[in-house]
Amino acid sequence: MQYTLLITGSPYHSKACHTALRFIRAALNKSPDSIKGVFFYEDAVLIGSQVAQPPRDEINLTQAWQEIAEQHNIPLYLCIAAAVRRGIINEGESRRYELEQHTLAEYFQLEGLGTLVDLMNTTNKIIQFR
Amino acid sequence: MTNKTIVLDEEGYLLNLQDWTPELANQLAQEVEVELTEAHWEIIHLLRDFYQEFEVSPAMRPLVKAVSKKLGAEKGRSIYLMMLFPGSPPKLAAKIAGLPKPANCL
Amino acid sequence: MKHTLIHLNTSPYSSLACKEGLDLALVLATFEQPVDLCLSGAALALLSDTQQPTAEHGKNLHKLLAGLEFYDIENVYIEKNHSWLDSTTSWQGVTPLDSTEWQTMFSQYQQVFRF
Repeated sequence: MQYTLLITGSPYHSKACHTALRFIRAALNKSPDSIKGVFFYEDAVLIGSQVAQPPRDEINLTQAWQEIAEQHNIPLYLCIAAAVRRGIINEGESRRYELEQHTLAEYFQLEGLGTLVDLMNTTNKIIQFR
Repeated sequence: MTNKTIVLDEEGYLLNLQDWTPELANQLAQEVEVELTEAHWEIIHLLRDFYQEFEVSPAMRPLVKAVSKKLGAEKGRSIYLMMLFPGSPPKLAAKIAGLPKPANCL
Repeated sequence: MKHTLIHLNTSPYSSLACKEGLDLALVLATFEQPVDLCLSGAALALLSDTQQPTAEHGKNLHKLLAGLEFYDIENVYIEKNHSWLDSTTSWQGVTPLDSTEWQTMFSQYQQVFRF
């Protein structure tokens, strides 16, 4: 069984990004290639900010996602339209909008919703966390 | 044309949709080497109506459907639209019609 | 190919949720994936004809309903008996379901996304 995760809950207004992480750890524990990819949409794209700084004595959620992506080779996609609207911008978009900075954290990538459609059609199950 | 500066975004789409005029459409078309004929105008007006009505710039499939419904099945084919607006008809036509770029357009 | 249901349950102009849910529906349809919509709760306000959102409210999402046919999105379900929904001033393209039909609806789809 392979899963794709769709996460729509804001990292600040919901526990979607936290719970999804725990789900992934449990799934990987059972079967190492059970996660096909993770797609962040709506306010969940805020997880991909490299400039947000949680207080030192709290969990760094973005970092936790980066670690799991690195260790298990799981692609982390952010909806490009949702991300750009919220200031999560990679180098390409930064050039396109003639900005001086980019804010996308490492291991995250901006993709269109078409990528989500591809994931849907190539995995058994898609689970939404909101 | 007035002397007002028309501002385009980084991809050549109109920033202020109210700035659009038929003259501007001709100018925008020239820049991409498209000569606007009656057949083009028909689509441009249809697109502008579509946007007025639904507040969204259509991607290829809905555009084809809308053309088919309003102008007949003969014109409601992607090959016909490709001929008028080569490359990506929804994007190019939206640009010339002074509309936002269609989201998630293929 | 999977059959998708997009379930809107939040108020159309209080957040981007309805807008982004509808965007997803349009993209699925553009990629020729079968997709239906259903509305409940505060999202039912989307159906009212009398909306005049300003730029601060966001795009007029009600207008999009009439355009769904061009995306081949043919089914928009609601649950019957919302007495406050006046049929003379609300969008007529919906399919009202009784509560049993409404409940079975959710099991007819391979995936349901909520906004």
